[in-house]
Amino acid sequence: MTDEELLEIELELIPLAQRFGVPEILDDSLYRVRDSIETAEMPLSTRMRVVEKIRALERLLSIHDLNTYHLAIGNIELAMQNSHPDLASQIRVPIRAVVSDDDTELFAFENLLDLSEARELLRSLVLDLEEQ
Amino acid sequence: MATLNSVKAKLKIKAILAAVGVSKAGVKPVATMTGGKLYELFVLSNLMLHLAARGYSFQFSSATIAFKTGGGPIKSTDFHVDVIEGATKVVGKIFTDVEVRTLGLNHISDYSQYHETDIVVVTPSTIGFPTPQELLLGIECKATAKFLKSHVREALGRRRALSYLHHGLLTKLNGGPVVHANPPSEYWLAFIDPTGKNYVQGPAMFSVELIHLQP
Repeated sequence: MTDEELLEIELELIPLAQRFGVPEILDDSLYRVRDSIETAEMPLSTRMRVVEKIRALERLLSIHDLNTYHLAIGNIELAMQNSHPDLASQIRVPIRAVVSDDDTELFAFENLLDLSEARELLRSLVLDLEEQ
Repeated sequence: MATLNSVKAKLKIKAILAAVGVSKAGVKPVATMTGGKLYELFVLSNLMLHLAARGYSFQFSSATIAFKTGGGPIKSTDFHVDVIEGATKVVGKIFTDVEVRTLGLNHISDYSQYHETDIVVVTPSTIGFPTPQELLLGIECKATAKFLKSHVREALGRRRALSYLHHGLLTKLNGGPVVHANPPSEYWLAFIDPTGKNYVQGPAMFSVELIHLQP
């Protein structure tokens, strides 16, 4: 794939970052690298910059994904399973999580989008670009 | 002419955009606050796994985990998790979005006398703005898709405002590390971008632990 084609792909990523309210994560200045601790920062190659931007988008989606909510609740249930035996019968296990302001519920995590398909496609896009 | 790989990549991006609803007319951006709070929940769940491995049990104050939109003092009615040693001894309470006072609390009258911390474990009787002595463990959660060195500087500044450098003290929670901090709180900086792992050693000198937690 030519640099010109990679730049076209890079442009197509912008609506995705905008959808999640953080278009600034695609700013080129965030995608720099050092060869070693003794050297100055350098811009990434076009291919690596596009790959790293796609990886950043996958991380962005991970913190909006219903599956991350289920993963967290699963972790909590696992932590509760190791409770002291005398406590086991009286433990209150959380069933949902929300964001609230005083007593007003603003958002329930159970209403998040399932982004597993989009995240899987982003990961496969990274593989495609790395294999070339 | 575009190569086959380029066409394939663009089709994938189109499918990704469709999967997140970009192609639908009138779809608003997802609230950025939601992502930060979901990451706090994910980090909270990992903190509980970590403390469970150190022998603690837990009790939730309610069946609904409630995150606040911003920091503030601890109120007795706030959602929290009791950290329990043995069958009954509550040794700490986990709260979220709490403003913790700094070491200079007796000399400062402006808003710099406290800093918001995303997740805290405090001594059981703590109410209001916790003092550095009441803080057992604090966590800053960085849900930013790109890790920034300013995150490290921020965590180091908070650590300085919470504890003096010390050659080594035991933490108050069982199984914790010896920390170079007095009062001996544990302090974590949790982040999703693996790049943050390149910045571990400097903060460790001041017992700021950088922890990569990525869903």
